[in-house]
Amino acid sequence: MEIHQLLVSASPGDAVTNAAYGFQKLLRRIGPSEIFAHYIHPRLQGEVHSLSAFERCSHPGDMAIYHASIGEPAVARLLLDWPGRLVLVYHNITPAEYFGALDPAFAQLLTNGRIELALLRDRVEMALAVSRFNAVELEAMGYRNVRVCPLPVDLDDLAGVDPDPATAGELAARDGPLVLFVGQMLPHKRPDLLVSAFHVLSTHLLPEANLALVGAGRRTRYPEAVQEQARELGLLQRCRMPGWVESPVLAAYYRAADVFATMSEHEGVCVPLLEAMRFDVPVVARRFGAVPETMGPGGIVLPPDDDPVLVAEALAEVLTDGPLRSSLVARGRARVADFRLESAEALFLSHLADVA
Amino acid sequence: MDADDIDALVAELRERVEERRRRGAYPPGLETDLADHFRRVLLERAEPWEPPDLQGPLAALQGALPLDRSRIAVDSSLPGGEVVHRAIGKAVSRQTQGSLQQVQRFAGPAQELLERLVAVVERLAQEVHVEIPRHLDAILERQAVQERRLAGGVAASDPAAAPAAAAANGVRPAAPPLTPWYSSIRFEEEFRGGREELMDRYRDLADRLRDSGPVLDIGCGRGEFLELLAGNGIEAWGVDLDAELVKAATDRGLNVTQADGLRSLEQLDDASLGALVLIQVVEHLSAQEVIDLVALAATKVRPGGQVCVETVNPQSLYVFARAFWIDPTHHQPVHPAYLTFLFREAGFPEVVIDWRSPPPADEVLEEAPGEMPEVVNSNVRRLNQLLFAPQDYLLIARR
Repeated sequence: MEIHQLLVSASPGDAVTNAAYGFQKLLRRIGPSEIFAHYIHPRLQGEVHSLSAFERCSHPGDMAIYHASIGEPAVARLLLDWPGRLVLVYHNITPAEYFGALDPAFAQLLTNGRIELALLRDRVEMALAVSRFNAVELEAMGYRNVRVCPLPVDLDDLAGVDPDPATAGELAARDGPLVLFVGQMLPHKRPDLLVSAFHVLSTHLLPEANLALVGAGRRTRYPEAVQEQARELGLLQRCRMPGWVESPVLAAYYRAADVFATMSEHEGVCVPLLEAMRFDVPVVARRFGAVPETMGPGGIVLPPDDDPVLVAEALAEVLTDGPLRSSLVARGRARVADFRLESAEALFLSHLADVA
Repeated sequence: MDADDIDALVAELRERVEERRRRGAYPPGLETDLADHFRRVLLERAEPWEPPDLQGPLAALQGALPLDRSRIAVDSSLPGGEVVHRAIGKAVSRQTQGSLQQVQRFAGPAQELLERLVAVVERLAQEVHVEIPRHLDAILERQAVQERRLAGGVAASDPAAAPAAAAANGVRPAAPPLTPWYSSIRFEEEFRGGREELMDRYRDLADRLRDSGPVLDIGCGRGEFLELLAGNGIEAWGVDLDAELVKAATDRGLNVTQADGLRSLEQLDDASLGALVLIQVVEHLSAQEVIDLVALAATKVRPGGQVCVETVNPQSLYVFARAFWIDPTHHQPVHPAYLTFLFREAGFPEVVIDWRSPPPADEVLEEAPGEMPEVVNSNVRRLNQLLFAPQDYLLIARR
């Protein structure tokens, strides 16, 4: 029996793709193991294979691990028809309502994702949820044999990357503290609320503060609107939105940051929170989805309301209260220690051994 | 600190936000305005719009008028058809022309109406822009910039605003913040004196505060005075804005946090302090901050407790020549008569002044030796009083 993995979409730096690579390293200790995807980023051609290749090479006795994070009828059809054994890894699917009017096609894919998840339920032998929050969703959908299995992320990887000197230089030349958000510029991540909070922070509390929003956006009006919002509030001089960046640039941002903030309203895990803690950056987030679970006692979790003033006061507190900062950094370090790669790997293998 | 502490911190932040909203520190409806602004940017911005061509159809309409029987085509593809059409046309010409005239009477004014409407629509299209929301938001942007400037300018009067940077004292300076590249510890050593020197200088004050705990030392710097208090077994803690000085203090095991002094004081329970100490701090504050400080002190110090304020004595001109302007974060000296007045007005019944740090004896003008007219030495004494009065004064106010 061979164990392969299937994804809807594979692209560099993407959390789901990274998880598949993490699992592949382990699976290859057991036997041949490949990653197949419907959409393959040109840079991953050759490493990740097409679905038709999966249909050609797989055998009825093989096992497929399917990473669910969005819908795709082609993948769902294949999995329903394929006679082999199926394990699900659930990264969570963003609620479609965040994209309704803005990006109807994407909203449809998200809706499909949840429908497909329901259709696949009886085909799935074991469902691995990357957080307790995700596990609860699967159980509510009637999934049996649901297990929590943290993502196999090695937080030391990014911490070991040499920061891009140009970015590091630019960031060092700024005056005032840096508020950092890392994540995709999507509506449910609410970068707009962070820009509003930053407006309050720099207008009423810390005029010298800076903001960086690092991450790609889909081609919709949304990221452009966030940019326009910052411009019209007169914040662009102190606000950077570099889009998607390579790891050395990302490392430079984490190293320069004085506080990490995410306003996200839906997260299956939220890896950037852990990355920030790994870089000794205090974190401020809101009580939504898997955020409290990922954060543990490692940072400040604000209530799930929309008050940019409260967010700004929290950021100012973290930026100006030395003892609070040191305490948050220490707690972040302790929290990161709970996410050791080896334990995630061991747990994955032991879950797999139960069914394989 | 555990998860409960975080919840407590969040609750405290919430209270602070509410309190500051009540005090008018944030424009009313700020959060709704910001949310509405983004919604407009995202959803309500019209795309640039080009009006459709109205002149083409109008020209075609003009070309179709006037209506006349002679414009009715009579050609035909059938042999002899044209002759037949002409004959029929002629036979009913009166009726045809009559109908056309009626339609023409309608078409004429209709054409004129359309021409006027087209002119109006074209003018509107030129003058009314879908850009208007964008222009409005640009105005909001300028307003935001103004607010920011204003907030920067009046930050001093807003004790809850976060500290900007680096003045070596416990309260944010009123002037735009200074961010020195030099070490605050080196500055202190160069101009205020070494640790032993400062401890000698304030030992008497620390002795005076026996049985006065707990003591808050605002602008505690490296914490020499806190050490003296600890030596006397007095419960005390300090705040300072300068991270480097705070680190130096905490490294020596002192209970010091980096925080804004007024903000820290504001957050204490009423009547919870035995004594409040500000050594060389009030000269860094704006006039508003000084009166806010005194008012807060009156609520936070318990009855019988004391406030000790040491600052430069503006009655000594020597101070201005030698010491005051060395520190670029000094804002303005506070006159002892005014400070006494403030504390009395705030309800402190007992206010005493202790004059400190006389200028070195070799700087003071000497009286003329020998047989000189008395007026000479009397003038020397008067000059000495004006020029070389003690450099500092310590005001002690008791509730």
